[in-house]
Amino acid sequence: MKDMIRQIDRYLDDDLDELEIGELFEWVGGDAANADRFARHMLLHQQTTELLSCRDGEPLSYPPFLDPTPRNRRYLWVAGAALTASLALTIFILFGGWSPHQHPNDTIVEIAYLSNAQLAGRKYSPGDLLGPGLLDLETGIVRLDFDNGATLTLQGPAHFEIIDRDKTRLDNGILTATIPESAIGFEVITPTMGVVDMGTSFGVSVGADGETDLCVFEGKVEVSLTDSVETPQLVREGNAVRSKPSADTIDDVDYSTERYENAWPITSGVFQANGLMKFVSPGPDFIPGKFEDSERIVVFLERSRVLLTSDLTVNVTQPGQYTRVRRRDTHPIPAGQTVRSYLLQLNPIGAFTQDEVERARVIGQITFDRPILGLIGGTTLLNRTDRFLGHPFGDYGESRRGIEPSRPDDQPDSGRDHVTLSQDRRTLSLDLSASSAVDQIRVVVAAQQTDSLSRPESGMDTQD
Amino acid sequence: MKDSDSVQRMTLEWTRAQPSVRRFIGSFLLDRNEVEDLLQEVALVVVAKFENWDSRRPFIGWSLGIARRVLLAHLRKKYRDSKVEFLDAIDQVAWSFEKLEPQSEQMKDALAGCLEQIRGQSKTILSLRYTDGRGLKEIAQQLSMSSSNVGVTLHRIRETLRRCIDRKLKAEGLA
Repeated sequence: MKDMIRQIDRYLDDDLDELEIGELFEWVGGDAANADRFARHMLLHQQTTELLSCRDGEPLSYPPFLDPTPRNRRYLWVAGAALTASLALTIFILFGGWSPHQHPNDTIVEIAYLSNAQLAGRKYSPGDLLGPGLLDLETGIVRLDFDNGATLTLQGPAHFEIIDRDKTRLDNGILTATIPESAIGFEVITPTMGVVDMGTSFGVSVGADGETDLCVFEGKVEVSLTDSVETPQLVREGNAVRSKPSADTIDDVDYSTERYENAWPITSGVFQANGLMKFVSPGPDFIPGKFEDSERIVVFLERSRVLLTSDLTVNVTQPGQYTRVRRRDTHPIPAGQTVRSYLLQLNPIGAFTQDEVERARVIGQITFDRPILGLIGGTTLLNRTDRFLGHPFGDYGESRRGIEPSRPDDQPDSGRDHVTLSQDRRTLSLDLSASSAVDQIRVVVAAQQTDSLSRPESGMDTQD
Repeated sequence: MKDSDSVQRMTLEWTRAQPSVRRFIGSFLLDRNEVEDLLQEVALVVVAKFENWDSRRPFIGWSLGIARRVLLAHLRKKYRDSKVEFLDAIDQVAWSFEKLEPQSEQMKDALAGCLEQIRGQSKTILSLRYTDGRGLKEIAQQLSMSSSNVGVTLHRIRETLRRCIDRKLKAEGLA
């Protein structure tokens, strides 16, 4: 009798021939205990894949490509993802649960945000729908939300073309992008380089002469010289490459994100951050526990898409002004919603001298692209939600966090330590004493409603 | 026509069950594209038949039952020229996954801790296999080893992980 555990492992590595597969499944089907062992081994294998191949905390839905995936297979997979999305639509439309935004047939992109944007040809407004075509952005910033889930922010001057929902061209300018699983395979073509996303976030910058820089913030990206038939080169997060016009190589360069720091927060869902608020730079070094700033309130995007499969307990859910966020006040965010999470880390005391610290105030305001559903400010709730709302590679430590509970001598009209959630739920204002022991607030923001069925993160049961 | 409560219920139940259904299908198909395609087929049947679900019974068992039938039809088509018989294995494994489902998250937590303990070349091989999705031959080529050595090493790593998980679950009174 063969060692069937070894055979299971060989099966997992695609190392069995058809005869051996037949023997294995005969053994599995022959006894419930064998089936239990087989299922346990498969679960371990699949969970290992989910843990080791995740990005942005989003476990890939299923295991490894056993062989390097040829391009056509990848597009097949994209088609599968699209089918999932269409299934979600089918469910909602068939059963009247949701009325989709009416897109004309040829529109694939929605303008989500404009800031000082001057576009040649016509005037655009947020909510305008676009089909394939050219965008000549003379100045400013514009965010484009593709109907496959890809989010691109262009910074002018930029000459950009939407070729179709999976392919774009950047002739010059700066672009940052976040590509969810549903849009893996998304392409950005530049004069010197083709960039194919493998499920990631990245920035591309094209100079007037066509020189192209690529910086991968998360995940990985395939690059190849334009019109090359060579095997694409893989660029992983925290790495950057450059290709020059007429060059026959793509070269590694230092990872530097400075040029993307205006566009990146907008791609990440933060339209404005002012006062002492600062959205962190993109990249693997800028995550909670690794990065601190003693002078500003830093904002981290922790998770892009988490489906709440049970109610989530938070400290604040309603618009209004709060004199301290009381940790004992708890309210539920109902299950069934897809959310994003951000961590605001406040450590401004280092910016003040001891004399100043008693009278100084820390004021900042942040505006998100979607409504804020809740705020978490208590140590217990912060700790409890780290596992599924915290950054997957963040180090949140063991010490006390969150917002100091109210003190007996607090005066309600002291004019200090105010947290304000605006009526439209998109803007959060902090007006805090620099001496407060406030150090972290988690902000839970709505993600796209239409995503709720298409690609939920697996196993994301929230435990309150 | 389903009402909105029914749609919401279906959404939540399917969201919870989907990971287990995907893992069950993935036990018999190693190609991710194939798994995703089949998962869509199962989801379509779940939508069409949702009103037949007896809510007194676990949704996971009902949806695994659908997945079992869809998978069997697919495998019979795929292996029609060979004598591989899957029926008993599929039935048994569907039931095994239903039993495993309640503790799968604890297993995953334990696994995450165990993975952190893997060091050296084992860690490299694990990373090549699972993070990069490389096959045995590719890993062997990269590390100047034979394919069979890579396979044996992966087998040993998995054995180590299984023992580690069992220890952790036992310590938490779950095994």
